[in-house]
Amino acid sequence: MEEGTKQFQIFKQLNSAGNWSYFLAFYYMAASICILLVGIFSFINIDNTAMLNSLELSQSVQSFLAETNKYLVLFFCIVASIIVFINAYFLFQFRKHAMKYFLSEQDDSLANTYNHLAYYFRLNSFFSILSMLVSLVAIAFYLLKLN
Amino acid sequence: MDNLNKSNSKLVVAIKWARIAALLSIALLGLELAQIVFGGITNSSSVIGLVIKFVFTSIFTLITAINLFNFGKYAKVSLQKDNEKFLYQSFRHLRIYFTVLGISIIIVASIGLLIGILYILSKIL
Repeated sequence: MEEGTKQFQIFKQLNSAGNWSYFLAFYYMAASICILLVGIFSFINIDNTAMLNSLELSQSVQSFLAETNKYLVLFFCIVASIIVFINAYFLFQFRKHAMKYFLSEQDDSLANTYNHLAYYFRLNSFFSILSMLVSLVAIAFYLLKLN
Repeated sequence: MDNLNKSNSKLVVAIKWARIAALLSIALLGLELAQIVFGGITNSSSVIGLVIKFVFTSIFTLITAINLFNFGKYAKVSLQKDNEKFLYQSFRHLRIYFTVLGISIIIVASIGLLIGILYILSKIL
């Protein structure tokens, strides 16, 4: 792509967005691994009261862990880890194809860039809907507590 | 030409989902506010912390949502008018969206790291 042209300026912006998305992808990847490790750690130590005491967790957290099925905690952590990993994958792909288009100007790469961007936003929307459901459950819980 | 149409149709899909994501994040902010109101009634001791958290969350959410909306708006106009100026504007907003996300992650991670170091130091000393 020729420097100084309007198209160069446009895709410089896209490339910059791609670079930041690359950083975010690395962060999501690290977060995915951390969530998985937390799940495995909880699975191993959820019955270990001495271990939980040494972490100085609040009473409510400790009683929550005692009441929760450890398989459920592991399952939740694995699902969350996979979702975050997929998010990272879309961002990686978005940056990869944006860079490819920047260098080769193949329209297929541009289509793939937009495609992965759409996938990323789709997953974000799914996350938001999930969070909304959790918030609604929390509000219902508060309302029940009031009555 | 077919490839260009293909990329334009993919951009239309990206615009649609960017707008949905922006709308949902604003709706989520409203729900969080309701959660604070109801939570504050039942447990008033934690309200100040929740309000501070809400203020920071709402600033972050509004900045990202507005940039996502603008990305969608300008990209749509650029497709309709076939004008590169609007496409430049649209990608500029997309860049700002990712930049804000990245910088906020750096800030949050730094604060987390600092708290972790202080916690470990308080245990050692």
